[in-house]
Amino acid sequence: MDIYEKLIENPLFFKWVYHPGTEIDSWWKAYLEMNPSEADQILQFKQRFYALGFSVEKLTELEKKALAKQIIQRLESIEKKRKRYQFAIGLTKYAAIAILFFSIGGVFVYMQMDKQHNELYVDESRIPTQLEGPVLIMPEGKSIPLLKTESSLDYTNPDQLVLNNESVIQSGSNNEKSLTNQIIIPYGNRSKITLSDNTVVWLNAGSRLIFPSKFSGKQREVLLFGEAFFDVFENTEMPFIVKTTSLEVKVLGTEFNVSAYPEDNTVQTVLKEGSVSIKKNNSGIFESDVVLKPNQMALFNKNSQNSKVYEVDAAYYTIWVKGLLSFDNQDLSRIIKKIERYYNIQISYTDPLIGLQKISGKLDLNKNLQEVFEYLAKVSSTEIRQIDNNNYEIK
Amino acid sequence: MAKDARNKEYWQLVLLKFKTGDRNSFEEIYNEFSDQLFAYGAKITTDRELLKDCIQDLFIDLYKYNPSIKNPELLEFYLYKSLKRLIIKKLQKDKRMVGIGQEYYSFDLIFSSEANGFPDEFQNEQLEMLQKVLKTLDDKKRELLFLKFTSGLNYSEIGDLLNLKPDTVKKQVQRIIQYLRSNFEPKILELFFVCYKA
Repeated sequence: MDIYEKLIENPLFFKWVYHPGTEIDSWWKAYLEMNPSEADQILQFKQRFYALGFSVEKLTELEKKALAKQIIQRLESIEKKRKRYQFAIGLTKYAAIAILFFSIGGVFVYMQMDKQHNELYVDESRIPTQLEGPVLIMPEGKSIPLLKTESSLDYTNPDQLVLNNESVIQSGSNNEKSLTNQIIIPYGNRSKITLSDNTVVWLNAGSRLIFPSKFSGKQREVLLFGEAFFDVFENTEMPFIVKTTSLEVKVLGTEFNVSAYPEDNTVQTVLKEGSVSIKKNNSGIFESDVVLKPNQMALFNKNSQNSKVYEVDAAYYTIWVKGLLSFDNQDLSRIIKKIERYYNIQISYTDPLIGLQKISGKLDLNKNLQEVFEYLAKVSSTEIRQIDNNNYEIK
Repeated sequence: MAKDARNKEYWQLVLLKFKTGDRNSFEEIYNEFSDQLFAYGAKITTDRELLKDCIQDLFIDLYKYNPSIKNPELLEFYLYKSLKRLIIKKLQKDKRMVGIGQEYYSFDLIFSSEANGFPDEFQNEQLEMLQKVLKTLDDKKRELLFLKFTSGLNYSEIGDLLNLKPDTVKKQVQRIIQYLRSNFEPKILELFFVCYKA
C-alpha cells in the first residue's frame, strides 16, 4: 500500500483535514516529526484535499452552546423523573420490610428503620454561640465539656478517647460502629481533632463538626458547620467527604480548608495540597463538579448557587491553625468577622462602607485583643474603641 | 486509552459514563461529533431548526435507550445512523401533511469554492466542471462520497447507512471515480485516482 492509499483509508486523515482540533493536530504533528520522509507528501495531500472540501453548513458557536444547554436541560428533567420513580420503588421496598417486621415485633422494626437513616442526622437547634464552652456530645447523648479554649481530641485508639492529651474518656458502647459524635466550638475557642482514620481536623471558632467514632462503609463522611482545616489521611479506597449545608467536598488524601459558616453568604474551600472536588448539594446530575488544584480557592455563592475558582496563596487561608490570621487584599468586614469569632466579641460599624475596604497583612491572634486592634487600626486607617464588655465600634 | 473517533472501547466507556449522568462525558461526545453530524444533516435538510431538534432528540435517545449494550457498535456510526433516521422521520411527517410521495430526501452536495489555499494548478473553471459532474450523480452516490470523505465510517458502515452491501459501496466509490476520470481530467483529480486505484 503506498502512502496515498494509507492516508485515504485512515479516517484520522480526513478528520484532520475537515474537522481539525488541537488534539488531532498535535497527533499529526507528532506523526510528521516521526516520519519526516512522508511529511512533504502528506502536507501536500492535505492541502489538496482541503481545497476539495465540500461546502459544509456549520453551527455558530452561539447555536452550538444553546443547543448543548437545551439538551442538558432535557437530560436533567429525564433524570429527575427517573429519580422520582426510583424513590417510589424505594418506598414500596421499605413498606414491604416494615410490614414483614411488624408481624415479628414492633421494637425490632423501629431499630431497623433507625439504622436506615443513620449517621449524619443533626439536631439543628444547637448553635455554637449559645454554649458556655466547647463540648463534645457523645453518641449516647452525654455532653462532655472540653475544658480548654484550645482543646484536642484523639480518636485513633478504638478503645479510649483522649482529651487534651491527658484525660481518657471511656465510651459507653464502643463496640458498635459509626456512632455519631458532635463537637461544638463556640466563638473564642478552637479544637484539634484526630479522627479514627488519622485525619486531623482543626476546628475554628464558632463551628460544629459531626463525625462517627469509627468510619465504615464506602466513604468517610463528616458534616461541618463553620470553618475547619483538614489534613486528610490518604485512603483511596474510602474517599473523605466534608458535607456542608450547601455543598460537599470530596477528597482522597489532601490538605484543605473549608469555611462554611451558616451566617456567611459564601462557602469557601481552599486547597493546600492534593486535589478535591466540590459538589453542590442539590446539583443536577448533569452539572459538573468543581475540581481544585493546589493554591486554588472555590468560592460558592449561596444566592446564585454558583462557584467561582480563584488562584490564591493557600497559606493565607490555613494559617489560622497556628493562631495567625493572614489576609491579602481582603474585605475588612471578613477579617472583622474572623476576629469577632476568635475572641467572641461584637464589633459594630459606624459606617458600613468601612467594611468594604480591602486590606492586606498578618495578625497574631495569640496576642491580646488590644495589640490586635492596634495593628488592625493601623493597616486599615480606622479607629476601634470599646463600648462595653464585649462590644466594640469601628470607625 | 487513545481518544480517536474509531476507538470503540474508548467511546463505549465514555458512553457508559454519559449514561450514568456524567456531564463531562456528554460534553466530550457533543464536542467530538456535533459539528460533523450537523454538517451531514445539513446535506439532507436545509431546515436548520429541524436539524437542531433532531440532534437534541439524538442525545436524548442515546441517554434513554441502550443501543450499544444490546448490539455493540461504534458510537460514531450509531450517531450517524440515528440522526439520519430522526431527520427522515421528521421530514416524512411534514410531507405527509402536504401529501408528497416517496422520494423523501435529497442529498445536496457541492464543492466549496471558498476554501482557501487552492493549489496553483487548480482553476475556477475546473471547479465549476467538477460541480457539474457532481450534479449528474444521484443522491445516494453523493451521500456515499460525502460520508467517505467527511466521516470516519468504513465501507460496511456506510453501506449500512445507505442500505447497500459493503462491496457495493466500494465498487460504487470506484465507479464514481472512474466516471469522473472519463469525463473530466484536471490534475487535482489525480488524487482521487491514486486513492481509488485499488
